[in-house]
Amino acid sequence: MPVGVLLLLLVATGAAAVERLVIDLGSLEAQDWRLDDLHLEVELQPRARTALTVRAAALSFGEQRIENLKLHCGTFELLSTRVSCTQGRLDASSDSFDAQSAPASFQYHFDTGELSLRLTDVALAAGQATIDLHYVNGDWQVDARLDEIAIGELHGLLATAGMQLPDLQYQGRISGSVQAHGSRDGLRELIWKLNTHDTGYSNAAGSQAAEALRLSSDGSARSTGDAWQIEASLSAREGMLYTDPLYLEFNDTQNLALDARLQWHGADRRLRVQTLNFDHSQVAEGTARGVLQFGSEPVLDELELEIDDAWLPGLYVNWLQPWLSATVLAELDTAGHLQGQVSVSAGKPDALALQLQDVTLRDSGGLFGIAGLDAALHWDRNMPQRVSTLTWEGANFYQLQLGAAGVVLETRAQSLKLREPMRVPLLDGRLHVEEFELGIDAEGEIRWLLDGNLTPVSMQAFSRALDWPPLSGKLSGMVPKVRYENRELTIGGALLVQAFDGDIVIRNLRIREPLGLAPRLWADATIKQLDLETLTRTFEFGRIEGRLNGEVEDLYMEAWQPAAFDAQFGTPPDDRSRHRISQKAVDNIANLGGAGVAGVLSRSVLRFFEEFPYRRLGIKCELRNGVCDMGGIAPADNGYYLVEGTFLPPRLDVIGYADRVDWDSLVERLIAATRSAPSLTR
Amino acid sequence: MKTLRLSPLLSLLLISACVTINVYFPTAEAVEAADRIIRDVYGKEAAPVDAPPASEEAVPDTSWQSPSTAQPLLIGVLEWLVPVAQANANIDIQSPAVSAVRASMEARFPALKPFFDTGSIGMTADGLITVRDLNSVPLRDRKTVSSLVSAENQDRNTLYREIARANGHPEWEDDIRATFAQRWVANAPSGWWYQDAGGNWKQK
Repeated sequence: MPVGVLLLLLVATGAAAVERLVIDLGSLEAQDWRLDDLHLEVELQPRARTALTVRAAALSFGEQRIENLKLHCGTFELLSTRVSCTQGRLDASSDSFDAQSAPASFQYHFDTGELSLRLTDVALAAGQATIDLHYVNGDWQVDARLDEIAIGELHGLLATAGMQLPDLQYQGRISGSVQAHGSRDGLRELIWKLNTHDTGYSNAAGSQAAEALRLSSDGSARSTGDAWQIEASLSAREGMLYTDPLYLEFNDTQNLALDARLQWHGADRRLRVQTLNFDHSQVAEGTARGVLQFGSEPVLDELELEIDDAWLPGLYVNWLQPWLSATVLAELDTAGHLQGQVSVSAGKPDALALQLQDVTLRDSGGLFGIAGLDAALHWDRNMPQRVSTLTWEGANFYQLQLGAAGVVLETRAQSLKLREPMRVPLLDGRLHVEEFELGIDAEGEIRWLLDGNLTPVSMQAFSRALDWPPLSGKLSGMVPKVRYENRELTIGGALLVQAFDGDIVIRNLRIREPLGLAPRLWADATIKQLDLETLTRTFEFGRIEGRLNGEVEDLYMEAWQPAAFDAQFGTPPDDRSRHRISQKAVDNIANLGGAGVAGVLSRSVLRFFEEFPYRRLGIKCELRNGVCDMGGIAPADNGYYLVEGTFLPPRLDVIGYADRVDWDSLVERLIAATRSAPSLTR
Repeated sequence: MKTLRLSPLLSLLLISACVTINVYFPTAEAVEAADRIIRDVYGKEAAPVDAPPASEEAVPDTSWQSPSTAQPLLIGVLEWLVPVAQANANIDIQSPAVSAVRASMEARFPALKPFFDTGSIGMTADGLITVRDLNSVPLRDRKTVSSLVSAENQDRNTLYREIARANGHPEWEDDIRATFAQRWVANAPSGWWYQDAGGNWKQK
């Protein structure tokens, strides 16, 4: 009604041919808005042009309040059906935005109540905008064209307008168009086509951040009553993004394009992803479908992931590795590609079908690796079993090389199992695996069991693989029930090493955290009838002839270094082989002890002998806390016999006096003795 | 109240009981051992200005190299007269597992140090480290920081456990951790950040 009164007044004054008319109205109020201290000024100018200036102290609508409003119309037209304003300018200020002075025009139809308003070159958030507003019967539409709007300032504007973006520091500029439709009940539809450059954001801790992003997005969101239907695309072509722990970088060769149909249920904070096509170049492309439930933490209720193609190392580096730090999979060199499907329900994986092609996974520290892996992996939590096949060209565990092989596996909900026996070349021998089972225990730790046997592997190949001194002989054995459980590897049977013409039997072998920083190993070993001549030749220690038996009980190693054992070695009691020890070996033994004896030997009459017969030799060591409690083959006065000579000359006894010997020094001297031929007496 | 009147005697008893318990954990030696490990990790450049000069730090028997994997096979067969071993310290930090962890931490430290210097990471009250403020770290290095932090924490947890175990007292792990928590901060250069017991950040 007040509008009617105002117009009547205008008509009346116009008819009276007044050149200038000033009217002060009080407040003017309609259903959705209110004007305070309204002031009108009409100028009747030559050639029938009428100019109008409207001032108001404040315009309030909803929660918003705009102050110092001034609309000047260069040409003002008032007809019986409509009123229009062109060549106008609107001045206004508000808490929400900077003081504005923008070209403006409007048109209002009396019969339909239709209002059109256009503002151009509006200074908005350090950029410019053109805004078209169309209003009829409570329905409204806003078209905004944005030009280089500063996102940081826009964030502030939106916040004062009651639209909260996540509380971050924003940078960058945005341009494009936004169209909004609504009614008295609020927003009904939003259509946008936007692009940004130098875009970034950061939270206070820097754990969520982006820099220099160039993004473009177009799409629409429509209200369907209780939900929003969203169709949108988003692409990132420049910049970088960090969302702890993921880091993505976008450039010409690696960019990300998303194309989505989504449904947002605001009431129960639920996002249904009807389809999400992703194309992350050199990383992965495919489609995802699912449901995300936003509570205190977002939960992936359902996910169907269809990977059309994914490439390594892109997939590993960008999406997997960040989650794997401080695990054995943290530092892998990867190659190859894969396709398949993954499904998740209630936040847990449900089923998986993956095809791997020519995949290489290699620990950069050399702990393990597999190359040329082709696989068809199938797993389903709700199926009794699925079948997976794997073939590979080579694999390694530490320096132990395994050759090409293939397996067929039965995959169950919590475990997998070898379907038929498998043969894997191991160095120059072969590992027959009769049984293999892998599962996950109650604590989520991996456990596995392997049953099989090893056809002889030459110790030469084995020692070379482990960077040991070259050994002769063969390594073989039944390996019944190798278990890995609670991070501990145990071998149920005995490993037989045939070396130096004798037998070494290793029993009770177990290794704790074999892939950890400090693996621990326990074992017992029995040594039978080793040929000392071969042994001493291998290590260039100086020739000794004879046989050697030994026992190593309670061997305990940490980080592959012996930490404790009870060991004794000696000439077998009933040994009938030839017993000779060379002067060089005696020298070496002596040299280990520091000098002295060797000098005596070379100066004495004994220097004329190249070698000496002996009755028996032997040594004992109980290693504890880095100290060896020493003993020999028999007690002697104040010491023990390391070498006991024969009754017949030339008789030579080597007697040890030190009870406790530093283990590390012992090892050091031993290495020195076997590396260089001592020149004391030659 | 009768109990109150008895309390001096009672508290004396309690104190002596506490002392008895504490005797088992050699605090001073643990501090010394922790300092030795920490100064090796921090290295020379990170040494705090006000720290006392490291005393008799030299590792015994430095004239030879650390053993290689070749030895286990060798030693069983041949070993003779060598100098008698030295007596052990109260806190043993020479076990192979401890040495392996120390080597791993020493190798990692040069990568961690710049992030300590800028305050991007800091020390926690339980002897670990944590990400504090990544804003000064270029975006592309932030994931490196978080993986360095988790690898370092894994090593530190292993270190405390292994020292306790090497000394035959797995139950000392918490005491050793507490000692280290204090010494990491005490040995740190000024400017580095640490959390107090209440979890508040402080700058040294």
